Amino acid sequence: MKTTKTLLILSATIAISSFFTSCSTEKGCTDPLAINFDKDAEKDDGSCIYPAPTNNDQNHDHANGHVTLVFNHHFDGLPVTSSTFNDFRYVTANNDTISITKLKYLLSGFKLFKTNGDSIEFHGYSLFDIANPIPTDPHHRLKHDEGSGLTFPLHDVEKGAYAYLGFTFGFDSTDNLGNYSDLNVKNWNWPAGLGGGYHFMQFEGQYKNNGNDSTFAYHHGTAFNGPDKINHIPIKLTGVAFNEDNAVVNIDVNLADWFRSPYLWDLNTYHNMLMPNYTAQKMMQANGHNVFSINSVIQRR
Amino acid sequence: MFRSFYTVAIMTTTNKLTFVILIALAVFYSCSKDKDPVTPTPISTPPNNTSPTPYTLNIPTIFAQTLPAPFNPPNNPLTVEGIELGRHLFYDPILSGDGTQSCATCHAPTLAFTDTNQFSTGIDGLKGNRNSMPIFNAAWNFNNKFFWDGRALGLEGQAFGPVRNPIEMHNTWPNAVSSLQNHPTYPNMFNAAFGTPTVDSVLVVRAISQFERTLISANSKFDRYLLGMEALTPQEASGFNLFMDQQGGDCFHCHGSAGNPLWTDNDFHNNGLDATFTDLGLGGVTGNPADNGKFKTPSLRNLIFTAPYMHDGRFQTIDEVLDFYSTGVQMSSTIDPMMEHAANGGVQLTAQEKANLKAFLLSLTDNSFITNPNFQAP
Repeated sequence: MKTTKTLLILSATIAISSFFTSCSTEKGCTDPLAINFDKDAEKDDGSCIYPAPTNNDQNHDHANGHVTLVFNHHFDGLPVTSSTFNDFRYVTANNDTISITKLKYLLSGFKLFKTNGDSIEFHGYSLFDIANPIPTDPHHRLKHDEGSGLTFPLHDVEKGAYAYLGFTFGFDSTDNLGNYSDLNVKNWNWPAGLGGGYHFMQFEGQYKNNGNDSTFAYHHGTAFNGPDKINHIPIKLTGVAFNEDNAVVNIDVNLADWFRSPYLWDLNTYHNMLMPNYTAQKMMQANGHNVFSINSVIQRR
Repeated sequence: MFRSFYTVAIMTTTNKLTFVILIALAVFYSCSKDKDPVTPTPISTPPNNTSPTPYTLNIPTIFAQTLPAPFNPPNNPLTVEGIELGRHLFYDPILSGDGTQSCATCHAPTLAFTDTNQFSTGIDGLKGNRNSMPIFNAAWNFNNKFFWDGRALGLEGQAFGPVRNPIEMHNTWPNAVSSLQNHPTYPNMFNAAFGTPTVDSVLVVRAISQFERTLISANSKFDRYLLGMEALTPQEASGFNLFMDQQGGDCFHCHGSAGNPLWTDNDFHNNGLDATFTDLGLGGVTGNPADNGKFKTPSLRNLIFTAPYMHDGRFQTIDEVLDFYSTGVQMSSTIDPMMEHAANGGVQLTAQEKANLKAFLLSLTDNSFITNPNFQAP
């Protein structure tokens, strides 16, 4: 009888512990890059924990640090996130009330300009998708170094003051000739008949057109049908300094500027079929210069 | 797996009472929503000591040139034995409630793994409200959402659905697993593929998914044209230009391009089929009204085999589809802004333009895909 009791307790313990084991093998973190990756997990339960973005170079130089660029989107101060999509809450300079249904754009060519005129280049590009700040694309998640979500990492940055932080909105004409499989599979290509390469931005939503809801598709890329086809936007932001091992640069992205200056954007005139529209493409390029600005630089030891 | 192992170990040393209590505990505490409880069966075959043979997908040149490497979940690596087991399961009616329907009943290889019905009929004679989807190039669906409404995550998640769907195979997973466990050869095949003869629903869907990941279609005339091996006719070339022209067919924003020869973005859109929705599509899954009327973009590959078209199979022919996009588009609250001609009812193609576009679409036909011996019933 004693043996039976012991066995009962033993078997109950095993059954209960196997319950815990079997549950955790079904749901857990399915990302192999996470520190709590569970190779038996069947479904991702959002529990993945990632190592802090630090510089892991073996020849780590303490004079250098890690900088994360964080892009914060708003429309003249009103936040823009996936949770603010599909709602007529934004008003353009032309007094058009709009909602946003999609915002994806491509940044590349990140550079830091020293005060003596030299510059440091950082490899990679990032296709930001405001609706999916944490991409579901498993390939994207495996490529941490190329940026994920709405941030972009600058590795191994020499400490000190810089005259400018620069990047390219879209691809410059050289990069735009490349073949990028991750962009291809996201259908990001710009038609060959319009010069090829890739979209720089897809900004979509609805606007109130005499009380009726109409759609707009503000797509930016090569300005093919005119003399000045090159249409990417070189962005230069002044005044950054890095003193500690880690720094976060908060960059404001004011989407209202796409509609404001120097060209007041009338959605009734320019709402769709904009890809082959040379005038619209050059207006986008001009207005885009004002969209990005540095909000703050936070230093962390 | 853990449960079965402990059970067997205990059985050899304890009495019936303990066994019954143990089973009761295991059943009560198992996560039945995700993995149906399986009554442990005495193991008749010793565990497999040889590992299954790893299998590497043969990536077609055109995909290697344009697309990322295919996605495979780390917890379900492809193996020769797993794929072979998956092929057997895919074609075996043993998974259905009355043993009359297999996956292939509604996903036939000769039809690019779909059927010709508007709505497929399940084992009880009931019909669904969605058109059976073809299966190919699923390993390149990086959104990893399956079904017309995206309700399943991953191929493995998808494969759980039809077996227990009352209007499809109308089985239960415990019953399907029991049938397989009592089958003369399946336990050995599971042993070869997964190192255990104990059948489990998770292993069933993993094997089926492995087979499905091998279903690659990349040998159409247009693929060969992109590789410089074959020329398009002037009509096909003209049709492709229309496809890529925002002022022509305006198809490329959802349906791919020379850079994305999947011919789908694997995303969800409202393409203007209806002014009001009887089927909410993605919105029914997310609960977000902004997703109402959105359905997954189907690939344009192998269209000749996959009629009827749209999520509800409403169009019998490619001509009807082209007529719809030309003049039949309906405005609604969630119409995709990339349907840039929707306010005018569509892209307004001439008869000649429709013929050209159709010629291009038919150049996406891959005859070798439907005859590939590796994809047929075992």
